[in-house]
Amino acid sequence: MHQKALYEELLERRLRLVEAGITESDSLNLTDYALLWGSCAVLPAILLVAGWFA
Amino acid sequence: MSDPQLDLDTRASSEGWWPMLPGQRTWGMIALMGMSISAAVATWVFIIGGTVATYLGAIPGTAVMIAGSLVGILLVVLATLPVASRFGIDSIAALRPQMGNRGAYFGLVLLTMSVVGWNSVLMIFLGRASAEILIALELVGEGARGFLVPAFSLVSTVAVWLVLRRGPEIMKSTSTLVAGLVSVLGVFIIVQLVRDIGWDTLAAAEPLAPSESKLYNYATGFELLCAINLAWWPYVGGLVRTTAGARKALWPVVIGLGLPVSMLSIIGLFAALAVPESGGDPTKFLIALGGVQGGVPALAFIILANFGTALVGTYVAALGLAQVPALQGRLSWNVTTGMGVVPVAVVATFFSAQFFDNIGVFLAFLGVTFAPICGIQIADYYILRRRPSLRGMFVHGPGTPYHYWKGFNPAGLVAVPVGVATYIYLLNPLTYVSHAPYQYVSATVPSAVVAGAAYALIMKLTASRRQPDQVEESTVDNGRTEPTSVPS
Repeated sequence: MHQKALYEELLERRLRLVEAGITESDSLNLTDYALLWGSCAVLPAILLVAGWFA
Repeated sequence: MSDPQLDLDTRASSEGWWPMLPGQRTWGMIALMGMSISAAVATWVFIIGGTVATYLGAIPGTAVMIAGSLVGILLVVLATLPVASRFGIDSIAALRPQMGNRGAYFGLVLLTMSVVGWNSVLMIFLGRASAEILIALELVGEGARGFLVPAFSLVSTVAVWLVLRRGPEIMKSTSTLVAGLVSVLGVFIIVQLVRDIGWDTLAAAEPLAPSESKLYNYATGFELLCAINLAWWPYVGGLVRTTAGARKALWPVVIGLGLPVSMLSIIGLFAALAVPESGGDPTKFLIALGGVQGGVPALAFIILANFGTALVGTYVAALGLAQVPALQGRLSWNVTTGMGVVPVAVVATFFSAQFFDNIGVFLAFLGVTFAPICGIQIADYYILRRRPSLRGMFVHGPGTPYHYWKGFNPAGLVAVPVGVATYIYLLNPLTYVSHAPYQYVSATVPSAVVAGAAYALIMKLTASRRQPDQVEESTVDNGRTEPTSVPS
């Protein structure tokens, strides 16, 4: 029982600390998504067309 | 006398039971890039490139492999990175909003099968390479191969476990070193291949056994790389949880996991085109062409690359197993990592031939299952715009956000098989028989799209049936929640 209470208390404290530490500026922004799609969708499309005619 | 509170908290962090604290997520971009490259570069680049050579020549094959690889990693990044890096959690925990707290164990089964399967491939190749070095150096005779291959496979598997015994932090230094060495060796082998065989010969080499349809060949080359890259789904969470924030993690993962597979698969493509019977493995004919000094770097590449990848794979599998509350606190880190290496040791030592005979089935399983999972995660985050509840992912029981129906989300349970059926209709991964419009859209991307659409539709239709606290943030203090298990 003591171990269960300790587990719950530590988990609860951990979740609070993690939630408190979340910074929105660390999330991907529009520029990141634009670069990601450019690199992983537009560039592959160009490569596929280029490879087809190579 | 140890402090039980400190012990529990330390183990929960280092062994991956719970989200990492912001202060613990100290890995920089270089370390994450190193670990990603170390995970990505392994002998599968020979198998993949060798298979693409069946359908495509050197130039279109190279273009298609890079394109497929980038699209595959895009799906994985969109599916896992925003949530895993926001909370410092692994891929299995990140799947709970879509599959339910119990349904997410489906992801754990996939993770375990994927890692054990790939690690078995790697350890068998590593055993072969080690034996070939000794034979090439004439330290042992040809007759010793039958004994040496399984022996080296077993020793290498045990070595992976021994390194991981020192804890997850060992990954940081080991992986960066391995990544640097395999990158240099990989480039060296490509240069050597082109120099020994000649660029004109390679560029003019015909595909080994193409279909009559140029579109089918093209789509299949793309599909192979796209599907293979989905195998990174379990790895991404385990990797990015160590880094603070998605922005820091994004490019090390895209560049470290997505690009090396395609770039180094060029080795397999060129090797198979130049010497079809090599199957994409350049080792033997590099020794034949360049002597021992030519072949040993290739063999060293195999040993280092496979060891590094198996290390990361076993670490990721251990993190996944640590998500099972019933195991938390009951198993030590050594036992948890041991559970990841024992099946590999058994397969690599005793069943290597049978495993290689069925490797096509294994590769098929990867693309078929991970594509729908990526699809439902992308739909959940970007279309439904649900923001996952951290508490919901770690506090289980009736009334919690991801309990749904006895711990399973019916939307995920229906959408994943729908995605699997879509894939199999478009491309039977065992026979490679396809149906239109496969030649235009391939199979992985449509499978993810259909699964995502089915998931979004069912979630919309069932929204009114879910309790408010099953849609919005969890309420851990409402007295109705309960951790599913507590360490003894």
